Amino acid sequence: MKKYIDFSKGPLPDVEFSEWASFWEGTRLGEIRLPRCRDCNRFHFYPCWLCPFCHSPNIQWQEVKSQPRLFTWTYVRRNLSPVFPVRGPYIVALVEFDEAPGLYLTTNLVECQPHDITIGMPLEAVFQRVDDKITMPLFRPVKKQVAR
Amino acid sequence: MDSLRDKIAIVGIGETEYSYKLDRGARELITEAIYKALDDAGISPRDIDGVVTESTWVQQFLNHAELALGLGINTRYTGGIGSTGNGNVASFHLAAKAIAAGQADTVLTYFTNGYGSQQDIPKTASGARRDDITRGIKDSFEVPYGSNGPRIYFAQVAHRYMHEFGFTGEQFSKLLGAIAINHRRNAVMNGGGVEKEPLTYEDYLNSPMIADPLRLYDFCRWNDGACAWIVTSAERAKDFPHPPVYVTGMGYSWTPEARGDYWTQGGENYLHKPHMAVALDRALQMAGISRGDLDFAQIYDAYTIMVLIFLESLGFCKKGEGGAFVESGATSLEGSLPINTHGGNLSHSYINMASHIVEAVRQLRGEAGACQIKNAEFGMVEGGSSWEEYVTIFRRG
Repeated sequence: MKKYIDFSKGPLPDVEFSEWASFWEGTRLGEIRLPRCRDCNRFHFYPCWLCPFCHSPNIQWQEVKSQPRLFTWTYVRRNLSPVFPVRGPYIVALVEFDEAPGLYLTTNLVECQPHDITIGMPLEAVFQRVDDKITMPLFRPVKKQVAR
Repeated sequence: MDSLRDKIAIVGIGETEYSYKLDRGARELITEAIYKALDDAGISPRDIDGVVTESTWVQQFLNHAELALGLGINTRYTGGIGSTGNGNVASFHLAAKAIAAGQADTVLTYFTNGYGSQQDIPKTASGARRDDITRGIKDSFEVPYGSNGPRIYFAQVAHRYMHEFGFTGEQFSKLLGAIAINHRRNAVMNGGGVEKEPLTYEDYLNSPMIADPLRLYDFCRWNDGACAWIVTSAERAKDFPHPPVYVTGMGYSWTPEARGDYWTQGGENYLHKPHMAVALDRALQMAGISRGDLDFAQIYDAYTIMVLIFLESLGFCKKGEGGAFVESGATSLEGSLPINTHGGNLSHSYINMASHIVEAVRQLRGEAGACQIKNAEFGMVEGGSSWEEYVTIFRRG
């Protein structure tokens, strides 16, 4: 599996915390999961202990299978924190899924340069395994079919 | 509804020097600001009987009990409200209620970011310094990607803003540059802030890109400094050395968001925060005035892009038109709505609205020097946040 980002030098997620462990179970299986209310059927994100729409406690993480798109992005050239000194310039992005509009997943865009980016462009997830517990979801542009 | 209008007034203000690096600790700076505010009011610590601060930040440097112990304050009332900038704006709301309820007569508020060379707090057990630490959702869902704070959140906001309102990079640079230059002009005229040299558009354009599309001069920089102020009942306020500045309007509103959502969620409200206009409407209603009656506005301006979003969200202009509003000159000292009259966070000092509040009092006392707005009668301060908003309107005594 390709290594896009050197996650070993920075902080890593707490993948075992009960409120969001299912998200990280999903990424180990190559899935993006978001919390969804079983009563009103709406997705929400970030996780909340009750559904923010109907206030039900009946919440289950569910895979989102629809098209991810770029909502917005930045190209971080300088990060003043001592935590990310070795990473070099990188692209941070918010990704939105067609079936869960208005909910954004923060991630890194990989396999693309800033001049390739347009807001709204279709993306696909790639999953980078960091260790046995942690798999980080990243996104890249959907490869265009070049007509010849 | 209007029962708290003009019930309290600011009778003392104090501030330290501001610098990117002072060789002084947070407690020392706070203490200096407090003693200056006491001197300004012509009173001593024994005359203070209430302490109100924002609730999430400043007490890690000096909490209310330590303060009372150190200065000899016999506290009858103590309270914390809101977070950082919003909390400083909100301090008046809590103090007004405490004074109206008879729980305190004279209330002190203080703030420092403690961002400077000496934070005056022990390191955590792991040895990490505070700026490495974010908690909870952001720690697990954002920080590992190198999305570790508001600079990056607002760079993303800026790209989305350009996309939704159809700005090219060049157009958008001009617009943000105009905001940076307007703030710098005020700071140079004020002379007491961290930035003392004028900024040209060339300087702005030549400053390094930090996180596209935002450059160095789109951001304020952390600096040292502290502020304090003292409020008391309107009746008592007449007996103090300076003309009282009344707290004439207060408003609060909230939007359904959690703290972890801060500027990386928001859905349809990602670029526009309707709760801000609601909070301002409530404050204006209490004051019995309208937006057009405001002689100036002190708006949270840690980054240029925030000024656009907040001018629009507060209802001073339409969505997408904040840039045109600024470029028209409306927000300059000579305009219809001067903003951040001392140079704001961007060029004067980043003390999370505390120095904006001190400046607002100076304006309404007629002590704002070269930046003085003629005949200023009403001025507002607001706290700027994605999920909650406090607004306070002051009136000249």
